[in-house]
Amino acid sequence: MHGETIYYQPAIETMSREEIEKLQVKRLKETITQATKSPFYRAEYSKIGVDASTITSINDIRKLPFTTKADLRDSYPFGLVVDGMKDKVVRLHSSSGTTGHPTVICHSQHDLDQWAMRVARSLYMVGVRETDVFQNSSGYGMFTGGLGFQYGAEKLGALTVPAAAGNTPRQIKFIQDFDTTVIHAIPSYTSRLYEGFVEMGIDVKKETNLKILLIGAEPHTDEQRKKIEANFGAKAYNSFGLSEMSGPGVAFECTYQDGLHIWEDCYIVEIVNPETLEPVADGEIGELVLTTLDRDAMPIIRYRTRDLTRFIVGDCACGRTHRRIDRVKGRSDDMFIVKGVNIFPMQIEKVLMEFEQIGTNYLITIANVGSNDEIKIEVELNTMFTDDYSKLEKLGKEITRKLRDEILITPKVLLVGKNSLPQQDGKAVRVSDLRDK
Amino acid sequence: MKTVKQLSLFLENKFGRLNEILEVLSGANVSIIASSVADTTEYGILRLITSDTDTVAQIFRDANVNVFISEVVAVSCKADAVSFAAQLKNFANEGVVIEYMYSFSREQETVMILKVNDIKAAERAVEKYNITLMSEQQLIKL
Ligand SMILES: [Zn+2]
Repeated sequence: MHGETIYYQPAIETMSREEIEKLQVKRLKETITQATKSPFYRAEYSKIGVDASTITSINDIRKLPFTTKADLRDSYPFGLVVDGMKDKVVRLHSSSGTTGHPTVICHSQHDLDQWAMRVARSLYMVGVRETDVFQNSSGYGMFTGGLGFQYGAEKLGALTVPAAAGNTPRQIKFIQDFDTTVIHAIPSYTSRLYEGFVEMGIDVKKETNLKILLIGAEPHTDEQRKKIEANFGAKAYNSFGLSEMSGPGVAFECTYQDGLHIWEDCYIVEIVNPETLEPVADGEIGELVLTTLDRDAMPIIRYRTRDLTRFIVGDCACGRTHRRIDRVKGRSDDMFIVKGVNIFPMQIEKVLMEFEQIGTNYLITIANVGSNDEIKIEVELNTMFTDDYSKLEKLGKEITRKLRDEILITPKVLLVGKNSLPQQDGKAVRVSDLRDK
Repeated sequence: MKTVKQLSLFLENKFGRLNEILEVLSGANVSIIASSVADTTEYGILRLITSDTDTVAQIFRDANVNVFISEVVAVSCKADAVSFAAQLKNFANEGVVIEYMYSFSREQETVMILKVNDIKAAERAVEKYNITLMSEQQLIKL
């Protein structure tokens, strides 16, 4: 094929590792210089005596302190904005906090342009072109999935339909009237949309031109994605972003759907053990730590995202050299330690999902039993597949064995009836630690 | 061969759970013909023969209780110990393994509810020894 390439920015997307690191070092030094002009980083960095000259190689980033969400809150609203840039700020996005101040991220026009570029690059990666009709069925306003995708899709040159969230019949009318080919929505909304089509008696596969769905912002499993794809007869790609790092376009799946390429010309990516804060080995789960490399108004360095993921080891078949991270399945706050072993609920979830006899709802309880810590895992029986005790017992033993292989500790597995555990709505407490503190 | 439908419910081992589960049926016009609870330290299984298996199963499913339906054999015999033992021996003679059983008596008659491992072998025993089986309809009339 001539003329058309699969890359939006071939030179950047296929840079060698050496080139990427060289660019990162250069941009990191610029970022430190810029950040030190903000009240927050000026105070932090002068305290420990670090500046741009601290950095000579990419690993030197470990000499810099982490930035946390609490830091952003404590500096509310403009403590991280670079001196002299306040007048250049053209937009802010604020995320609500459940306690105390919300966080605020300020963008200059340059920052917004770079953000739109990343989103355009991501959209192009999954096959969106200027001939496409892009319907953004995501909340607008402060939620970065609205304006973030809006400007990215415009930059790419697609016809954008800023439908915003909700009103399913109207969404469906737009999809049909405007021949929408690409839709962005949170995963749970795609299910509602699909139900809408069914209720209206419209065959979404035959009577629409939908070919790509972009889903993100809400944790979802690969199984859920496959179901969405089967329902719509379209490809669904996972989008990752967070408002502190601008929003969508931080990382995105390519058409191979095996992890999300994270744009390393714009971010330095680290994955660390949430306890020791040391880097984990490639392929191991840890907390994602990101540094912005192209933000003028409000650079953020070594931001602890609290998102748990891992690097996907090896090269991607698409030819892009920017590393891939696994879909985010949990938060580092959920990690717990039993008998000196770090355990993440997502490890347990992964094992439980292998058993069709049990549901995905579970409850982990850690308690002192004598001088030992004991971990109890209650799982809901999905279907009463037998009335034979020995079969139920065998299932319990099999779950226990697989869990032990994964977390290296033998848990006590307890089968419970369907719906007897608290329902998960994304925020449910799945770990209950009853140990004496 | 006449068989009877049995409902098995998963029962968490916590105080009051049995009452809780049976309360689900309070609004329904059904009767419980026979029941048995077996438990381990961790959970139990409640087994029920009711006057309307499908309705009861649906009520439990709607109440999010795990339900399993299986076929069991209801054998009628005289209530004395000799008859009781003789019937079980008849099945054993044909190589039938009884996985579990429970029974109830009414006047001089006992009804044994048997879960057998091999329904064909059980059928042979029934024919050979002229064993009296009960259908659901017959059980309701008791
Ligand atoms: Zn790829």
